[in-house]
Amino acid sequence: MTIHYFYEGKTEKEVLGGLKKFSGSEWKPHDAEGKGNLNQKIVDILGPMLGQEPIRGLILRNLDSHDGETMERIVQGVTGALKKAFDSRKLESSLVRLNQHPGHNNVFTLDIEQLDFHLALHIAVYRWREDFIKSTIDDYILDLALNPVTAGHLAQKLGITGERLIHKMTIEIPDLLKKNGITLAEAKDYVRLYAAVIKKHTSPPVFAKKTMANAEETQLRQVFAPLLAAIDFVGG
Amino acid sequence: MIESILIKGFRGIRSGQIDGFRKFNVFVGPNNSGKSAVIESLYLAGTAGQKAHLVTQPDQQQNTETLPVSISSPDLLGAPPLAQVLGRHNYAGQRSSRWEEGVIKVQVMDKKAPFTGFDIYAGQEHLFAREEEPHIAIFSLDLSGTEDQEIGKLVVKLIGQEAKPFSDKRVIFCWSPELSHFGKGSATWMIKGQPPVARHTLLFDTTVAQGQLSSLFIQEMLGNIPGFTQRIGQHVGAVFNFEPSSFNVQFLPINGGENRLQGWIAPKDRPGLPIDTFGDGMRAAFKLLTPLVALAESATQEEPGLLLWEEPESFQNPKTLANLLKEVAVLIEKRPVQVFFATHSLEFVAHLTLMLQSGQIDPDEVKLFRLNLADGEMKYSWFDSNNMAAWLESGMDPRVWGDFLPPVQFRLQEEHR
Repeated sequence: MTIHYFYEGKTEKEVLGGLKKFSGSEWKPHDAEGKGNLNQKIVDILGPMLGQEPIRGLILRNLDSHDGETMERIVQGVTGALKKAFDSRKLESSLVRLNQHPGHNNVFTLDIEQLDFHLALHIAVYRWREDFIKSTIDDYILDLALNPVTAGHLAQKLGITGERLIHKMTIEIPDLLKKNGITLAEAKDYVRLYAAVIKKHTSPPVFAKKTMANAEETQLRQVFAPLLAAIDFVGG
Repeated sequence: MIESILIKGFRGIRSGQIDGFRKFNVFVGPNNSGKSAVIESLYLAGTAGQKAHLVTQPDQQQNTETLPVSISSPDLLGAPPLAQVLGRHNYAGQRSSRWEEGVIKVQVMDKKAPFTGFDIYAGQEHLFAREEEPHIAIFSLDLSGTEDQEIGKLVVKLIGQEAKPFSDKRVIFCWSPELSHFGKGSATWMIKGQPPVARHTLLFDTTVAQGQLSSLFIQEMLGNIPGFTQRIGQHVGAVFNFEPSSFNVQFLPINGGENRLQGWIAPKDRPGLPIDTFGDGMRAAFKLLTPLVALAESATQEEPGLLLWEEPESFQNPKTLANLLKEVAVLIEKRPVQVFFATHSLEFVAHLTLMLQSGQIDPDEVKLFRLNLADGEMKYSWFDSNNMAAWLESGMDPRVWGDFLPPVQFRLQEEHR
């Protein structure tokens, strides 16, 4: 069965791409090109299928707390959009109720048996550093990239060890930048820097793809445990 | 404007309902999903315009009722609607009635039908001709807030409680076994909203595209619509990128006959040619645009128009199809004409979506319905302009669901954003 997944940026797509190998399903990506369009995109794609055929959907959001976002507001936004779609199609909108996953508080699930509708919402809440201004999927990628084994693979071209690369990335370069009045405020800043250091002049989504490809399965399962639980819920 | 339709027992549809029609409506779906049946039921409902009288239980002395009904009336092109529909399925006529001294005497094959025997009178001053009889197989009852309890009871018997409240509805009863579900012998359907009038209803399919336009229709339009041929020329020119001033549209007798007219395209600097000597795409476009010019001109709020266009993609190159669709939209813009398309073409849907995105058609005026028929029960899902754009931009195909993937897919380009 096809799982439709909705995301606000291309990094999420690459992350899903790296986790697909744990799933036997077909995946269909839907890029909302920004969080502002995400709920509408969900309704536009899934609306015509409601009550007509089984639906499996996965939504990937970032907790943009710097914008005043909270998990409750994100859940409310998704719920409201789905309720509107249900109403417009004369379906019982009170069925739309997202429940927090018992094992992961940043995963919410919806299971409407009579419509064969399974949906999971994953909110990226992890911050690699507590003083980052927001939580994004890049924090998970950074965590993965700074794992000694993954870093070792990524550092091969430089001829240095993973530990040396991690030291550069977490201490030497941030300290140097700080002395020059430059602050690394979010995971994406580190990701761009990391890509430059390992001479991969790539965008964060491509860096995410390379990092996922160089990570070990146990590490992927550990870092992305909530997301894998969401995938598992929708039958992936 | 027709807002919805409820069908019971018409052709492959044992039961089904579609709500939320708009000015432009597109039906897609698998073969045998009910698209053509819905088009035909709309056509027969729209053309039920000739006043008649129905007498129930005519053989009994008591409890006999006379009801005002409407039967099929010629459409925009002057065609008899039932013959048109039966002809599409290679039936010459229906055989559940007989003509007797100007009266149609009906014996419904379906013994469970609300009526099994009744007479239809044309009116006090008119009797049916014998040759009319095979082409009469429906009557309709118009419900405009009717207080008539007998008609109300009758309508509930015909269609069920869904007929309530009795306002803005037209109920059609059909006794042609050929058009009923598995030859059962009767079918009933109901439309809600303002129906068109018969002479403003056009069913355009490949048969009409390859046939001759009625001379009576052409003569009437030449007399009634100023600049009729010039207007046809403008729209044909726009579709095929001809400069409208470089040619004339004419209607000339066929082989010198006085009763048959044929469209001609006559370039200013060369001899003219009959339209039927051109390619099929040109012929089809000409034979659609000619009556549509007339329909757009003559439809009014009181007597709205209805275009039922099956397989618009037939004979057309993709570019011509886009141009033709655009011209149809231009022709009926702000005119009280409702359109229903039945198509298998994803390109057609994409052209329409691009027109929505570029503002050539108001997004609130369009809806696509994906029909599905299982065990005689018709279901549907609908797509508004947002759904259509999102699906096509994602490379998804509203025509086919499930595991089937067409060998060629395309993605709508976001050129208008």
